[in-house]
Parts: sequence; C-alpha cells; structure tokens
Amino acid sequence: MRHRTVLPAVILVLVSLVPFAAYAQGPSMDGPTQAALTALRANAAGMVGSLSNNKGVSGDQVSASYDDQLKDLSSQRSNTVMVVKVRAEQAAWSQMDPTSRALIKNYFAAAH
Amino acid sequence: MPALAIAGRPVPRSLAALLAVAALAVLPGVGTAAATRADTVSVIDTASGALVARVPVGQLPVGLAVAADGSHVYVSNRDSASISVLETASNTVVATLPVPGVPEALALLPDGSRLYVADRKNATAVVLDTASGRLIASVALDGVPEALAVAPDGSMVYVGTSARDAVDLLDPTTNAISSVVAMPAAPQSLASSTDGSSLYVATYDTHARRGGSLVVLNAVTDSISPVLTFDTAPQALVVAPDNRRAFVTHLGSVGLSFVDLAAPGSAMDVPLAGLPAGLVLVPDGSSLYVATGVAPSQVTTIDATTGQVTAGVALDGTAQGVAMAPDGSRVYVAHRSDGL
Repeated sequence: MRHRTVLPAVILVLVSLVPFAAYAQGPSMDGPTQAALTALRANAAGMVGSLSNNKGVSGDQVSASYDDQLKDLSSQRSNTVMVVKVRAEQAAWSQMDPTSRALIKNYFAAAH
Repeated sequence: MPALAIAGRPVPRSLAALLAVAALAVLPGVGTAAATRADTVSVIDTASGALVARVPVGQLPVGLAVAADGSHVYVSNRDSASISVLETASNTVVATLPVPGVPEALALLPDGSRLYVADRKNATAVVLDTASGRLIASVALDGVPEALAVAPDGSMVYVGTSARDAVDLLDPTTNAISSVVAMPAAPQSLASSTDGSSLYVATYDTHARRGGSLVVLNAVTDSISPVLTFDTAPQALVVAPDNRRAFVTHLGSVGLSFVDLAAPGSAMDVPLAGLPAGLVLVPDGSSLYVATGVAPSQVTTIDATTGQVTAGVALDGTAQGVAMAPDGSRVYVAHRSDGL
C-alpha cells in the first residue's frame, strides 16, 4: 500500500456513494462482494420512499437507474432520480453491516 | 450507470431482482430480518493461543468494550438492537440491555460507569448507566457514528462521524456535544495517546471510495494536523503505549501499516491474509492481534516490531470485531456464526 506525507491542506469533500461507476470496470468481483452490492442497491430502492423530500422518486425508478432504464424520463427527471438515489444509497449504506461495508470498500479501493 | 453484470454479461432486471432478494436473505441488517443464528464471542487465551470459550450473545455482534478492571465485556448486537454483558470470570452473559437503532461501536469511561453506544440508524450516541443498565441519554450527532474513543482521564468522549466528516466532542458531564472538529474525510477509527493530549484519526474518502489519511487532533486546541495519507482504504487504528508508533489496517491493498509517528513517511507494510475486521495491541505494545472476517476468518498474532506473524487462531463464521483484556491475558472476538 502506498502512502505519502500529507500536504498541509484540508479538503472537505462531499460525501457520496454514487455513482458506483467502477462497478463494471474494476477487478472481477467475488460472490460476497456481488451480494453486498446487490443488497445495497435493493435496500436503497426500498428506502427511497421513506426519505423526506424524495421528490416523488420511487423505488422502481431507483432500481431502473441501475439498469440504465431511465431513458423514457426527461433529463431533468433523470437527474432528480439520480440525486435522490444518492441520498437513498447513503441511508442504505449507513445501516449496512460492517463486513458488507468492508467488502464494498475493499472492491472500490482495489478497483483503480 | 452500468447495469448489474455477471461475468461481463448484463443481467435481466427480473434476475437482478431475484438476486437482490437472495442477497437480502443472507446479509444481516439489510432490508429483511436476519435468520436466527448462534452468534458468539470467542475468548482466546493469549498465553497458550487457545480458544478457551465461545459465548453465545445476540444477533450479529459487532462492537466490544472491556471494563478497565477486566470483569465484564460489553458486546453490541446489531440485529438484536441490544448490548450483551459478558462476565469474564464465568464467560457467560449476565445481562442483555436493549438499545435503540443499530448499535455498533462501543466505549467505556475509565471508571466503567458509563457505556457509550454508536447508533448508526438514528445518528446518535446512546449513553447507558452500567450499574443499572438504564439508558440515561441519547445524544444527537453531526453524522453517522463510525467510531468512538474516550480520553484516558474520562474527560471527553470522541465520536467520529461520516456524512459531514467530523469528530464530535461529547462532554460526559453534560451529555452534550461541546465541539465539532471537521475532518478531511470520514473517520473510521480513533485512538487516544496515553497522555490524552492527542487523538489519532484514521479517515476514509467516501467520495472517491478509496484513499484516506491519518490525522492527529490536538485535544487542547481542537486543531488537526496531517500525519500521512493512504491510497488504500484505512480502517482500524491503534497507537502504541509509548505514543511513538501507530498501526493501521487497510482495505483495497489488504494489509497493516506500521507508522513511525516521528517519521511517518517510512511506514512499514505487512500483508494480511483476510479482510481486516479489527485490531488490538497488547498492553506492553509488543504484539498485535488482527481479526480478519473474510477469507479466512481468524485472529493473527503479529510481532509489533518485526511484523512477523507468530500465531493464528481459526474462527468459525465471520469475525466482526476484537478487543483485548486490560492485562493482555484474553482476546475477545465478536463473530457471526456463518460465513458470507
């Protein structure tokens, strides 16, 4: 693992778990990691309805976004779905068990 | 956004939905209720390296905290929303305390009077009176609690939170947040220096989904200073009793870094066989115990000077967390009884 002495600058980053853009681009995914990611996405879809100010985005739309099936929506509505999906994924992530979180982190940290 | 794919082939939505349901059935704390398992805390004798007891606790034990006198171990059970109180003399659970939400990280005041529980669901720190088992406060946090630490003199409780990436300073005399210190990324683990002057924080960049840093928070000024950055995903952190070295586990490039705090650029790396779930140091700082949860699930003993693996104990299921008795005689490992 590479490390370096840190620069004296503090960079505040926006927290986001989306998009899981490296999903299909990284190293091959083992079964437990695949199951953890699938569960995270399913749970995000399941939790979107309980989010405050979810802008009417449904769980089906969140699920469809993972399958690139939002083509029938306007670009504005698609963007709304993606923004709300970020919050749903954050909520799902925060309640995921530590091993599943570690599997997903391990995959993405090794993916580049 | 790429579709779900297996072996490079897109998966139909109907099959993806089926996979999701299947995953929900096997993953704890995600969507559906987990099936009842015989989850346990394993007790390892450090002198002999033997597994001396397996103590049944609640569902999906994750966090551990050992009383300063070694008499009890507190165990957070995620799926049961409870705390098991394990009596170490008998290796039995003598009480089970209900707590709200999704409990994970735990910390005790040095006198053992208060137990702090990180509730990820409600983004709170729950305060329990250990004598009565009563919940005496639920403190709203700045984000999702990822890690807890207590100053050695008990004057402050530190809560590392993600979402807004900060360390919340919880005053144990008022049960209120007295200050919030911004971090460069999401805290994953906290470790106080033995004199309480410094709090070391391992952070993970949730935006990039890789990388992180080790920073030090000055407990007097509440200012932070960078120590080292990592290209991996830092996880568990401990600081040696002499405050000269820190040890950090990683995901991505799975391993353990030995960081010389006086010359952090010369950190030594040791590979690990499995996915690290926790890390503890014996009181004299001579050895580390690393619990790995997946592939394989085991506790590995590592010489804290040379990095050599000196022993290992295989575990059933999936290790989730680890703690050390104050006298170094026992290692406690929380694990679910099945694999993933």
